[in-house]
Amino acid sequence: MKRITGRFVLLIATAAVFPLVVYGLISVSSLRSGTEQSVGKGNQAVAQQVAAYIRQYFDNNLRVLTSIGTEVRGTQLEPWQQERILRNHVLDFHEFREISVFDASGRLQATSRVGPSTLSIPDSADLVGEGAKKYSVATPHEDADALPTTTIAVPVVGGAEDRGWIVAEISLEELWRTVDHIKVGTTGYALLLDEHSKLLAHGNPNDRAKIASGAEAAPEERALAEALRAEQPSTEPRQFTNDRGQKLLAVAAAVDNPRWSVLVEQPTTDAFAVAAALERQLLAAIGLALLGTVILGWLWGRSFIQRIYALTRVTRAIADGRMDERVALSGQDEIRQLGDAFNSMADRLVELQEEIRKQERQAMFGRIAAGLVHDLSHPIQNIGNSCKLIQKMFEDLEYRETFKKTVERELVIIKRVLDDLRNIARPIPLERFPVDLNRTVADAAEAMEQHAETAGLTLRTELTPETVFMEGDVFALGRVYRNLILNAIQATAPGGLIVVASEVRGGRVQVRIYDTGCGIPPERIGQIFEDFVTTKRRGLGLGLAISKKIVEQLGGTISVTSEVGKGTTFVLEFPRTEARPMLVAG
Amino acid sequence: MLFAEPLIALDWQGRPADRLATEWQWSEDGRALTVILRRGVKFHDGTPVTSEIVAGILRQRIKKEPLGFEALERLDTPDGNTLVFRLARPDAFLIGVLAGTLIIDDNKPDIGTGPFRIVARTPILEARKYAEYYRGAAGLESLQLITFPTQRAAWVALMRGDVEMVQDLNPESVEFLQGASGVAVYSSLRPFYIPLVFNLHHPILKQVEVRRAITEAIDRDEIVKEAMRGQWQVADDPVWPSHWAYNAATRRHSYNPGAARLRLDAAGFPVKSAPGKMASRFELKCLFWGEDPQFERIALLLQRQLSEIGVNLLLVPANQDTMRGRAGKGDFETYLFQMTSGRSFDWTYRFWHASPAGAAERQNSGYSGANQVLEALRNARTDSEVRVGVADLRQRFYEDVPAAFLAWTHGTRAVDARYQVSDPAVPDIWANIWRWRLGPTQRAAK
Repeated sequence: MKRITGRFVLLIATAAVFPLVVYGLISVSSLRSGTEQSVGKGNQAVAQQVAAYIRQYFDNNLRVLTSIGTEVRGTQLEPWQQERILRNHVLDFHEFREISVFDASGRLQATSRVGPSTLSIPDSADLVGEGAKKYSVATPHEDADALPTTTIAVPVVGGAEDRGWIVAEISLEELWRTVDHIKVGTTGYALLLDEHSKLLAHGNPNDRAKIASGAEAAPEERALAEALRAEQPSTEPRQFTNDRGQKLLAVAAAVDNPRWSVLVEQPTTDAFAVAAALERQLLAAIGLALLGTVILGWLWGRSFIQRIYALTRVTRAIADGRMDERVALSGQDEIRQLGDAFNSMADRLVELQEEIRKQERQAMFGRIAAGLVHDLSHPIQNIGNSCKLIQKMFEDLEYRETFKKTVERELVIIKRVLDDLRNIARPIPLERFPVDLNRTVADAAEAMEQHAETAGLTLRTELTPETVFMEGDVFALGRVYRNLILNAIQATAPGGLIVVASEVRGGRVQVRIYDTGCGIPPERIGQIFEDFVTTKRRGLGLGLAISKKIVEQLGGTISVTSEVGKGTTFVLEFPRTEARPMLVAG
Repeated sequence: MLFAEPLIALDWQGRPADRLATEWQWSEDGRALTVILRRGVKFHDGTPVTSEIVAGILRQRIKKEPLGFEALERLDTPDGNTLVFRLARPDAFLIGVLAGTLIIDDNKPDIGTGPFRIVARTPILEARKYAEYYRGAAGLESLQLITFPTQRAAWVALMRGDVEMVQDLNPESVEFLQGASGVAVYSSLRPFYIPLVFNLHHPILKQVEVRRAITEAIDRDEIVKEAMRGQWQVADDPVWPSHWAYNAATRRHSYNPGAARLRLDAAGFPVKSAPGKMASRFELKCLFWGEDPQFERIALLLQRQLSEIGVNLLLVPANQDTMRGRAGKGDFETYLFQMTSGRSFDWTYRFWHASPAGAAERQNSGYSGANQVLEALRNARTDSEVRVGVADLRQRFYEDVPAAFLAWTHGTRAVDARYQVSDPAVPDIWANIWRWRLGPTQRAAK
């Protein structure tokens, strides 16, 4: 039954659990990879938008400066007018800390500062951009307050011979606002790195101190920025753990001129929050489905197995003879049909058993009746005949004596038949004492010799030369031996041989009665020691049954081997005893 | 307040509060102030605070700087716990003066009565808590005070983690600290205002219509928004807006450049062109504090706003010492600076009351229109007299326009968020620093 249970579990696992688990794993894997890709692309788009915004920021500032430069350099304005223009722009554009205009030789022409200018023209080699849109963006530096600041210089043309520069100091604090306003998800942010991967702006308020401390970006952030500078327009999203142990998803986009980089970072717990929630829900659903499947499978299997258990219990009860046991199974399925069929079979079995018993009883009664008729009819007839003769020959004293002997002999036979019937039902009273094996065997053979001769048979004894003793009842043993020799005589055709032999085998003695008779068919040899079983056409069939009973009461065994047409051998074994037999008086 | 304390303090609304003194009482004629000292208070060196010692310290202070004690005739100590200030005339400002006078011996500058005692002055000022402070021992074990050259340098140090608190942030910095989880920002109005002071000795500025026109041409909201990033508050006059006698329902100048132009036209100042110069009605020089970028920005805004009505404001940067020196001498046409008002009126008196000829002045702008009202306030004995005086003073400033009052400054403190500093009853957290508490990993507050 355990095997069936195991098979049920295996069946459920194969049919339901395994596919569900595989489906779940594939779904989770697909969800993760899909989310990572979509979030990465989304953040990449944000980074590119921020980069575009910063490019626009510089473009706008360049346009403003170019416009100012053109206005200041090309219109013959008075110095105070130039100063007012520059100051107005400083007031209107907070990122400009100072705007100054220089001629081609670097001589200051106007400044927004009330005091002296702090700016100068750059080296022409530092110019970037194309055509008329050339400009210079200095590497950001820390100002007196250790905050990042940069300088933008734009060549301006005020006339054919009137070349010059407009230079502006830009506070990168203003860029912080741009970067600070970038929110990705709940906690994602952007950061800005210069061409040396130094932090210029950081959207995470807790990391702004890094700007003030002039810190470089984290190694993973630098790697992303360097990949961008290696002419890759964008890079694949990367995941890394920051110095606070927070796992981040980072993407980058290039600003170009200046060659700065925008990074967008988002804690993975935030970036993949939706996917994680879906994953949890999916796993929970799969887990519930698994649990439900297993519970249902277990309940169904249990109900199935329980009915098989019930069937098995009743089958064992029937086998143990409790024929009134029946199985009651629920349901309408094949198992129920099997149970009903089993109950029908048990009912029919009981009926057949009753019929067999009835037939056996009838057969036995017939056999016993026939045996009694056979065994008793001859003595009764002899007594009847003798009674008729006695009436005629009552005066004959000799016959009267013969009559007496005849009646007594036949009564002994009748008594013996009746004793046999009684002995079948109760233990045979035996007197056990040491007896000489050879003597008992020889006495029996001698008693039966006349019968053998009459039947035209040779009865031979082959006794062990050793005198051996056994515990036994002389009269009972004699009856056993005579019965076996008589059976041999009756089963052997004239001219046949009957051998009665004795032998010592270790601690036991053995008696064999062998004949060359017709033999016993194999299908009947198993029942020859049963009551009322005989191979002869007549008689009660109690001889071998009583013989077996006597042998076993004396602690011995009796067995038979036979071959049809060749003969039969009965073998009796008894425990050997060393004690001499008591001398019996008389 | 950290190391030394006054006899009497002024609360946020300008009402007197007990410190080293627990009681004070004016005489009927207002010429004597009796002050009862708190019993059991000791200086950091264990010396008991007695009336004799306090009187000695005050005499020392008055001898060195008599400002505010001009009316004081005699200082008596009838017993070891009582001081009696005897005045030549009633002077209600004495309470405010005492609130600004710390009881500390010049010969023992490190020995005060405050919640912290100085243990070192070099290389940085370091103080440890004074366990026997009479209001309870401080929550912090020690303090280190570091002076930075600029406010921005201080906040950079805060962002770097070099310090745990910045006492005064500029508005630009505040924006960047908002939202930082490791730093808490606390802002409150400070008793400092920024005026564009007119010199009434100037031939043009002596005309009130010109001063009124200039005031109407100034968009103070724009100045607060653009130069102070909205962190400050527009000012109408030098009266502390949180003072208990302050009444918000008062007349104030509104931004009206059109009216200003009409006033100047009516006053006989048409716009004139001149070679190499801006076409203007007249020019005015503006002395401003050039060391502070914020003042330069305010000055630039004023220049632009006034240019809209044809007034050419010529900006002249100067350092603090120069500013003070020239303001006291009247060597300016206009000047732009920061002034204290305190939470009483003694500072208002000092700045805006024209002193007798020859007396040292904080500012010599030639304005004397508020003298009478300021004297009335000085003599005020009751709350109603103070309220009337404050209302009159504000009316005088509105009418006389001795300056264009631009804005009240906000003080912004930034503190490491691990400190528990908030106290709704005290708007300025600095005043309550002895009550601050720190988390498990306590270290010296810087």
